Amino acid sequence: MQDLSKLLKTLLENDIDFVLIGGFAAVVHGSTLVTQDLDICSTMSVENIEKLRSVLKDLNPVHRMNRKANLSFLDHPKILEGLNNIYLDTDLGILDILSATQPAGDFETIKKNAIDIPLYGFSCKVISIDDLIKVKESMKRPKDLQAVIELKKVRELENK
Amino acid sequence: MNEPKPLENFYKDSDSEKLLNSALKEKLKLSFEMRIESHENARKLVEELSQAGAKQRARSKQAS
Repeated sequence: MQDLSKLLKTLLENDIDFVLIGGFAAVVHGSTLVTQDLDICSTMSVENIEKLRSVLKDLNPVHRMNRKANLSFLDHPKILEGLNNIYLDTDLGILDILSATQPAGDFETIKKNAIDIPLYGFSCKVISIDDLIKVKESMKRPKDLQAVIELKKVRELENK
Repeated sequence: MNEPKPLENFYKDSDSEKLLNSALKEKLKLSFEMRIESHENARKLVEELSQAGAKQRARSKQAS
């Protein structure tokens, strides 16, 4: 059964260094829109990818960009250097791990601007609302532009 | 008899904005955990409805 909140909890419990981005970050900021995946920005160091493998090992993580091949993230790719993005399907739902999200920048830049929120007894870094608006505006898909309308309204309400 | 209003005029812009404002204000009152929980409930509902729709389409295709 898909459960994105449980997937997020798993990452927090296991001390993965990440920033929550994408639609789920919009939800945390207060958007009413529904998203079907969990997007995070994280470092693509070999150590971090190995840690992600270990944390996700019981969740049957497979690369979703090549579903027919049914490649497990636990064994593929063999060489971990030079990866930019990892798109996974897990037993708890879709997890996309990005090293950067333009035009906001790379992991370190996004992390520097991120907000810290208390979540399930942990501290969770979430992309700042300004960075998220920038990213969503650049995507130009109808669902992203709808998110921009909501996020700008949220920012207005919070600044009142 | 009066003609029905075209759908695009059913909700005037100001009404849509009021609805959105009110939905967002309610959402902002919730804790971060509650925002996520409310989203997950909505997501599961969307998933169930889309599965039910797919089953219905498959049944109709079989019947025809």
